[in-house]
Amino acid sequence: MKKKNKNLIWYIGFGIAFALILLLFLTDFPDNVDTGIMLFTIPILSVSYTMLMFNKMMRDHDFKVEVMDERNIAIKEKAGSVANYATMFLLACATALFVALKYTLPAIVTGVIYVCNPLIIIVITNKIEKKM
Amino acid sequence: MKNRLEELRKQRGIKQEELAAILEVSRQTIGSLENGRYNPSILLAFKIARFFDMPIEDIFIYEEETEREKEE
Repeated sequence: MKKKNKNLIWYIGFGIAFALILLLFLTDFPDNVDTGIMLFTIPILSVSYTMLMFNKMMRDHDFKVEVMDERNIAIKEKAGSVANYATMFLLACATALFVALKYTLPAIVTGVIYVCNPLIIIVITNKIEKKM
Repeated sequence: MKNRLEELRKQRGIKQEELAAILEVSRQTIGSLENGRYNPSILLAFKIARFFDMPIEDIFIYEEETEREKEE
């Protein structure tokens, strides 16, 4: 059986990002469309690059041991969970501030994200529960 | 949960770094295990037991009362 290239998706990400950058230079869209494309391109490019580098570094045995170390994984999970609470608190503060300043649209956006977070947690928990 | 990891490691004259390399974990994990700050997963416990060629319960000592006190 042919070995699946786990980096393929990240190379595709690179391709998409470069195609979008070309699109930016070769077309004459309005500024807000250009900004939208840029905001879409940057995360694709950075995530693809980071994941490619990460997979490359995972070939180093010491780095792999450090990453796969069960205590380090437990620490990361705990830190992620606490960071999630902190982010939610900051998001709630931002929503309150937007409401106070009567910025309706930003308040709705941050409010929706705030409400979506527990739903996302429920969906992910259900998915993980099925695997464990 | 108490364990005899430090005692067994020293008996065999192995450094924390060496044990960590054998078990494929970080040196900090070995340190935390020895201090009792971290309890290993069952997989790591088996790896440790196999390495020392001893039953798990001879290395890791489960004390129900201590665990209950911790929870409280």
